[in-house]
Amino acid sequence: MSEMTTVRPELTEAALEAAPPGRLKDDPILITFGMLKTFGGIRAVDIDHLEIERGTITAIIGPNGAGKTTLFNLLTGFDRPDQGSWRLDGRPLGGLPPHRIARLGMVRTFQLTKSLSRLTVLENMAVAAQTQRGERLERALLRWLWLPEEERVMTRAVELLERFGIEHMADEQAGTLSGGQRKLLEMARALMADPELVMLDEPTAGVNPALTESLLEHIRNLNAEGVTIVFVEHNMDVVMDISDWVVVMAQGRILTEGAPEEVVANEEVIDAYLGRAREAVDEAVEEAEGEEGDG
Amino acid sequence: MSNARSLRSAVALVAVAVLSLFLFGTAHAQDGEGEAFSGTLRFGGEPVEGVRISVVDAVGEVVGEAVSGSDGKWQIELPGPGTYRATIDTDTLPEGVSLRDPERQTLEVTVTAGRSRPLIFALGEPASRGPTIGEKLAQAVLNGVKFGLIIAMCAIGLSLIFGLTGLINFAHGELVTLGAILAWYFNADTFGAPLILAGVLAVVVAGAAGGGVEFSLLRPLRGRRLGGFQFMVVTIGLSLLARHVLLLFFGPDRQRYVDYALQAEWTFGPFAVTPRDFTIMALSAVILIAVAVFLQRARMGKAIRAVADNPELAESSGIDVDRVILVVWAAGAALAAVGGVFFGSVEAVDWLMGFRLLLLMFAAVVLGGLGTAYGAMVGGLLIGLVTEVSTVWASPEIKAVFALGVLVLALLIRPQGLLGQRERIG
Amino acid sequence: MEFDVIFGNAARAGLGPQAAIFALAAIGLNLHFGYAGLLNFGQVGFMMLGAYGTAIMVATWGGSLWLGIPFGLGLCVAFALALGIPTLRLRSDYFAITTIAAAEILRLLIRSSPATDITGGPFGLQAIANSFYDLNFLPDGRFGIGTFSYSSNQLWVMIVAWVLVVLCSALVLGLIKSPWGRVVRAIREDEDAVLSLGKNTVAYKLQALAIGGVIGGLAGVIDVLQQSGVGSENFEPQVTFFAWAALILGGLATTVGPVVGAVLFWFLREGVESFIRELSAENWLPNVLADFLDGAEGAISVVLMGIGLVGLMALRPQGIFGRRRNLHLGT
Repeated sequence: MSEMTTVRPELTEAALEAAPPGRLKDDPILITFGMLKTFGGIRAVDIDHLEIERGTITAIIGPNGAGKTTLFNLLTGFDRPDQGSWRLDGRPLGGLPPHRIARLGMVRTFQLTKSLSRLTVLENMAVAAQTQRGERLERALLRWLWLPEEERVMTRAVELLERFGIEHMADEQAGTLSGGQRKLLEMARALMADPELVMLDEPTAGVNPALTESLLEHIRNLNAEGVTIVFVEHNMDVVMDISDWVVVMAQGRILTEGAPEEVVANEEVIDAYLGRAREAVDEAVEEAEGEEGDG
Repeated sequence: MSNARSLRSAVALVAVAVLSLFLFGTAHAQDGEGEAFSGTLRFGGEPVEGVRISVVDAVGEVVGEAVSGSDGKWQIELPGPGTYRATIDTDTLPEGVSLRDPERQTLEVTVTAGRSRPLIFALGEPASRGPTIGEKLAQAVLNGVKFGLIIAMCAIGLSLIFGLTGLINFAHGELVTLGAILAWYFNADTFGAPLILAGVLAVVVAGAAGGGVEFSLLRPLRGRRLGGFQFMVVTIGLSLLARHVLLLFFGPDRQRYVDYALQAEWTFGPFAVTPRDFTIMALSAVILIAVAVFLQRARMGKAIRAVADNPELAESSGIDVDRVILVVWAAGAALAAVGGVFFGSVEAVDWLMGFRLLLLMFAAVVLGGLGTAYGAMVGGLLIGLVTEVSTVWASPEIKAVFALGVLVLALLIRPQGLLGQRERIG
Repeated sequence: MEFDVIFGNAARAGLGPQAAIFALAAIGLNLHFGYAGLLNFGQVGFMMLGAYGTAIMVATWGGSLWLGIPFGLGLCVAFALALGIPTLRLRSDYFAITTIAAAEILRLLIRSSPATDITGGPFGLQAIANSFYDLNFLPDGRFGIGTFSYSSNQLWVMIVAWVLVVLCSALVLGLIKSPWGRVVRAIREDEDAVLSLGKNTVAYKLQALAIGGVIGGLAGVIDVLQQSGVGSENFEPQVTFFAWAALILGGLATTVGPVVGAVLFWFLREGVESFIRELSAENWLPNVLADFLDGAEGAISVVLMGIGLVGLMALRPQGIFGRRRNLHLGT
């Protein structure tokens, strides 16, 4: 990007010395500094530096309670860090509410799918379209002001549904979809918002192998169209299959990051997964995070 | 199957309620002619003109007002026999004239059919010395602790039921009323039992009623995939039903227990307390501590906390969740009834007392943190203190405003409540 | 037994101004909860502000009724903002408790003696709606048959009230069918999901709260017009529960539900009370029962209402017009 210099003004030498960064990227779309979040004294997320390369597929892996979902919540504004700053395309996001962050182009999905059950599948898609005139209260009753736009939204929604193979469900209520169809809908809906960066929280959790394959295909296609993708994943096969870059978290920290082949060869990663520290981590997490399944 | 069963039990419940209506008599008023309050206002032998007096009925609705004439006379027609409160508006008294006893600004008087009751508002020189602000404050704190303990006791069940089942029980106030009214029946009306015995009986019956609602109505409904909102509506229905059945039984008037109605106060420094109120405070404190110990130590207490924490986990680790909920309903209802009997002794018994208390209970549990027993205790005490201490400076008729104001303020500063935990997204 | 009298009374109540008032309150609640998922238990607070705003402008400040009504509705918007901005971020149960508390705070303040100079305190305010009845073009006399009849002025209030009911129903329908309504309904389903799609959910909830509140305020305005006065005893928390009962009876998230629910609610309520009055008037009952029922028809009809609500939830929780299937999706 041309604004490379403005993208990372904090990265002075002093800052570098105080907090040794994660690996620098050529063209980072997302940069995070000194992100800290504690729950009852436990450091759920404690990341000195993390960059996400534009146009790549980045996987975040780590044992349960490593802080992955918490990191997602922090980056997308659903939770507030105790300290830290982060930027999307050079724009600081600290303190912004989630909807503002989404509007800037970083759209997330949730670990437990959040389909809007009593809206139709098509309506689910339409809600995601950005800056619709008819969504303003003062124009809501003036149909002629938004009808043409509404038609464009619907056309695009149907296109996306076709692409994800659930167009036959368009007029059904989303609550009637199967678990796998909901995952597809949620991904299609995220796309409807025209994101630059999509954050997928366990996109393949609870999905059968055939559908997993199709989901991965969609992720690849998306990426081919230039959308940057970050996803949390437990299935190492999936990670090896589609990611360009892997970030390993444990106990809130970044253990290591690198290309998939690099990472799987790393002794520390094997430990983190096979679990010498596992028991201690699980205990700490149970205390700190209560009901949250994964962090 | 469960459909038919739940329907049958619902019908049975209603049938019992309706039948019991007919077994007991009714206490409500019949219209008579000519009930009235009247009086003459004099100051130093001279009539006092232009003073406003208003009368409210047992539930606080205004039934009439009058202004004294040039002869100092006033009269207010009443809608029927019953207990009323007459208040003289001291702002309308002429300069230099005041009530001889400022405590007697409001008189509570019972009128029988066809009688006109004279009321005396004695006027005199302004009192040389009222209680100091410090004395008022001390007394208000004492009252606050007293009501706070009672609110806390009433609210534990409300909070725990929410913690276990996510249900806001709008009928919880009626359990308070039920306890108070049953004790009145056993004590003053039907059996003439001593209040302590009557209270124990009332608490047992109310506890059984709470357990019965859970067992025969809510548990079957839980099996039918109703949403949280539908359950809330069920409790609203129960609340309307119970409240008005109690009204039919008990009538619209305020009543007092026979025992311990009039007592000389003990004084400790700035605090003055009747032996009755002292005993109630001590008993309330003991009961609250007992509840806390039970929750910490007893098997069932631990199970209750486990279910409140995470119902699925508790269920999978072998806890009988239905039984735990049943115990909490019965025990919570019994505690509410104890609170009702105490409240009835301290103030009076009427059919709306629990519903009025419900808002303060809501304030207490939200302030303390919905779903925790200790939160209800802390919140109850705080709410009691705030309401009573506010009366030192503000008019007692808006004391509930302060309690609810504290609730709103607390939600802004700490939405999860004082002892509650923040919710997580993910 | 004179069934025509009972039926006449019931029909008069079911179509009368009270039913229209509850229909308006329920239409507002329907927007709040049925569409936006806001558990508002303080609807009576909005009604009270609509009523008192109008009455204070006329009776206390000597202003025009036509200034008073917009003033009252403006107070409703202010109340929605004051209530919503701090609490709409909270869990729905906290919101419910806050709304019921806020409405009761308002009522206690309005009837307190310090407020007497403005609100009339416990005595209320009178003689408000004269300029409304001056517009009545209907001839004097009674309209209708038997007990099912209205005075000219009653009929005038009713016409205006039911026209408002139709207009408000149409307004809510139009809003809900728009993209704005789509976002609002989406928030009802899952607020976090909608946030993640870049919508300012708090703003939408605030708008829905204000619009539903103003419709509730209109109910209060009709109440003032109907009685030509206000008193705080008309705005106890129970009123909100009755409006909810009407809405639930008709069916949530439907256009006709709140209206039909309110009509049925008053038809049944007055029918029961009238029936009991007839029973005791005709000496059809054994003495002990007659003594018991005499003068108690109000309480008994509320008892039956409570039983009805419990029964409705057990047998047809979606109400008359709701779809059962919608109850379970996604819960």
